[in-house]
Parts: sequence; structure tokens; C-alpha cells
Amino acid sequence: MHRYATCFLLLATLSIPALARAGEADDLQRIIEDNRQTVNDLERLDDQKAAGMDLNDLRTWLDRAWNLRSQEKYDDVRVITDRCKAQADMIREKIAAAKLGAKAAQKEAEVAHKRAILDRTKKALENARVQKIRLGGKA
Amino acid sequence: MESFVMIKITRGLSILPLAAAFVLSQGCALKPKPSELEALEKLRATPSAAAALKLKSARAKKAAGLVKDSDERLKQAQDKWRSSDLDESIDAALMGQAKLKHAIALADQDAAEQRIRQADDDLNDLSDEQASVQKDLDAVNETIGLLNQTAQAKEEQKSIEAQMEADRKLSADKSETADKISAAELALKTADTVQASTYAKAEYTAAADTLARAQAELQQGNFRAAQMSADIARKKAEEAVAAAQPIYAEKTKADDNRARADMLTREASTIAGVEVRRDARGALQRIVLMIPAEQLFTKKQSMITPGRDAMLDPVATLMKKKEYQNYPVQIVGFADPHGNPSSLLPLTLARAQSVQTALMSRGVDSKRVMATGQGGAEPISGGKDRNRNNRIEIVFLYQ
Repeated sequence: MHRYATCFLLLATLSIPALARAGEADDLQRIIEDNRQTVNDLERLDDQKAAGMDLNDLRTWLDRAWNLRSQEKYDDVRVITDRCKAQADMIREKIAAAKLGAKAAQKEAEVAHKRAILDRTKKALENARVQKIRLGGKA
Repeated sequence: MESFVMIKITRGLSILPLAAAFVLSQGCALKPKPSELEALEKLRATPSAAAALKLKSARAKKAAGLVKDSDERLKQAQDKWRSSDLDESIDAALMGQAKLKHAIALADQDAAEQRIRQADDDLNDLSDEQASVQKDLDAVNETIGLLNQTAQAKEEQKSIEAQMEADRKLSADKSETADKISAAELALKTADTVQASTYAKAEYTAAADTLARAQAELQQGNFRAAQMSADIARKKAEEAVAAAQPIYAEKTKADDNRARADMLTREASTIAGVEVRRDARGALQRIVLMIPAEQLFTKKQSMITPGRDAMLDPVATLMKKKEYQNYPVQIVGFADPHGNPSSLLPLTLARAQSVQTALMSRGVDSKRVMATGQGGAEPISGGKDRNRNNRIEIVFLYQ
């Protein structure tokens, strides 16, 4: 009995690191897959096509992380997934900046349009005043 | 040999540091800078990165933190590169890029929001200015509209006046034309009264045709031509009148004379003891009231037998009638040619003069009456009726 218990403890002691490594692999897989889903979401969000290269980099890095995970280089994977998170955060803000930039450009176009209308109206007013004087009206 | 050994040793001693230096230099040689690090350094030097540190919005703290992280990653990457740990240098550089780009994105968001705010302000200002300018324009356009209406009203007034003037002129032309046509019609009717269609046919026909043309031209509104035609028609009608009038007057006079003569003949025929006949001598027409001499005279007497002159009363009445007052009258005495011709002529003259006197005594104008004696001329009977040759003829003359 005692001998069995000793064997069990020995086996258990030997299997703990293996189990821990298996849990880390799963954790990293989940992180990588979450990041891939994030890439897809960001791609959809990027209607201004402002972060195309950054998204490509991110996708490349995730593929590399996946390879490293397969090689069980979990520390290297962590480094890359941390960078991927930072890259995704950056892309999200870049997309937001692009949307705001587009909105600003739209507003500026609206300003230009209104300014053109105003210029036309001013010209029309000038012409109307000339016409009024020609018809005998007071200046 | 010793010196050779010394040289060898000396050489060995001099080469050793070089070799060591070579080995060290090979081991410590700075590897090429990773492109990721170079990219980070360039990015950090851009104005965008500098701008990320100057934000004044809520993003300022976060952006500053990101730049700081990036700077730390940059330093780490540079250190790792210098220590030839390229992989870690690249990892640090890439992380630094992500952080710095993140900060720049925040700065870009700020800049975009600033642009949006500026654009909104500009839009508000433009809207206000547009409203003001549009208001001025509307006011001026309203004034122009009123001025145009006034000008249009003036134009319409001018047009109406011009139309009225044209209508008036047209009416005047029409009226003048109608007057001229009326004048021509009147002239033609005048021509009718003298039967110009008969006595001046060419002129009358020309006048009638021209008048018809004038009326047609009037209907067509060609007033000038109508007036000219009407004038020509009137002149032609007047010419027709001028040509026909003498003929017509003469004809009328002849007709009147004939009618009067007929009436005179009829009335004279009612006088008892008077025989009436009509004849002509040349152009001269004659109504002859023949009174047998025995009704007035006794045998060869030249004076009217008292009591027989009563038969002259109706003759005198007839001669004095207004209708016949213009007739010249001859009182002619005739005798039967069987006798002394030298005594017949004075007898017939005396008898004629007796009758003339009797008629004058009954109020007949002496200027109208002329008495002559024809003696035995112009006998009207022979044989046992030759006493009829003794007679007095009261002759009414006319043309």
C-alpha cells in the first residue's frame, strides 16, 4: 500500500509541470484566437482602410505566435501576444482617428460648400444691387 | 638562435594582443541596426510624435504615458542592439512602435476633433453670414421685383396707349374711308338721278366698279387703297353726272313738255266748239286749238261778233293755267283761199288780233301771244266743207 502511494505521489509530482504546460498552451491558444477574432473585427471597423499594413503585421505576428506555441516556446509567445495586444489597441485608436479625420474632412467639405454658396449669394447680392440701381432704385 | 627565439617571442607577444583584439572585435562587433529599431527612431523624430506630447485634451495623459513607454522600449531596443541581442531589440522596437503609433493615433484623434470643432464653428459663422446676406439679397430682389413691376406697368401703359392710338388711327382711317365711300355712293346716286347709267354709261360703269372695289378693300381693311378707289369712284360718278346731266335734263324737259302737252290736249279737247290736233314743224311741237271762224265772226267781219266771244273764256282760262303759262302761243288766222288773196291776209290778221285782244282782255299775258294772219294758206278742206278753212288756230308751241 505504502509502495503504491509512493508511486502515485511520484507520478503526480512528475506530471504537475506537464499539466501546467498544457494549461499554458491552451491559455495562449485562446489568447491567439481571441486576437485573430479581434483582427477580423478591426478589419470590419476599418472602413477608411487606414490600418491595412498594421493589420497585416498583426496577422503575421499572430501566425508566428501560433508557430512558437506549437514549438512550446511559450515565453516568446507571450512576448508576441503582448505586442499583438498593444498593436490591436493602437489599430483601434488609429481607426477611430481615421473615422474622426473622415468626419472632419466631411465637415470641412460642408464648410467649403457653404462657403461657395455664400460666395455665390454675395455675388448675386452684388449683381442684384447693380440691377436695382440700373432699374432706377437707390443704391 | 637565441635571437631568433627572442624575435619569435617578441613577435608572439606583439601578435597576441592583436589576435585578442581581433577575437574581441569579432565577438563585440556592433551588428547592423534592425530595421524595426530604425523605423522606431524615425517615427519618434516625426512632428506627429512630438505633437502627441502636446495634447491638451483628456487623451493627453494617456498619450504621454504611451510615448514614455515607447521611449523606454526604444532605449531597451537600442541597448539590446548594442549588446547584440537583436531579437529582443526587435521585440522592444516593435512594441515601442505600437505604443508610439497608439499615441500618434490619439494625437490624430485630437487634431481631427479640433478640425471638426473648427468646421462646426465655421459652419455656424457661415450660416449666420449666409442668413444675413440672403436676407439682404431677398430685400434687394423684392425691390427689383417692384421696380420690374413698375417698369412692366409703364411698358403696358405705353403699349395700351400705342394700341389705343393705333385703334384711333385705324378708326379714323376707317371712318375717313367710309366717308369717302359714302361720298362716292352719293355721287353715284346723284348719277342715278340723271340716269347716268344710260346717258354716260362708260363713266357710270367705271364709277360703280371702282366703288365696289373700294367697298371690298374696306372689308379687307386696306383703307388707303379703299380711300383712293372711293375718290376715283366719286370723280368718275361726278364725270358721269356731268356727262349725263344735260342729256337727262333735255330728256326730262321733253318728257315734261310731252306730258304737259298731253294734259293740255286733253283739257283743250273738253272745250266746246274747239277742235284739237297736234303736229310738229321741225323740232317745234304744236298743239293746235282750231276754232271755226263762224263761231266768232259774222261773214267777212274781222271783229268778234258780240255774244260769241264767250267761247274764248275756257280758252283764256286754259292759257292762264300755271302749267301752261310758259307756252308761247300763236294766234293764227286762216281763210278759204277762194277769194281775193290780197284781202284774205289782212282779214285773217285782223281776226287773229281780235282774238288776241279778247284773250288779253281775259287776263292772258300779252308777251306770250303773237297774232298772225295766214290768208288762204294751209287749207284743210275742199268742196262744200271748204268753209272750214276759215278758222282761227290758237297754237301752243313747245319742244
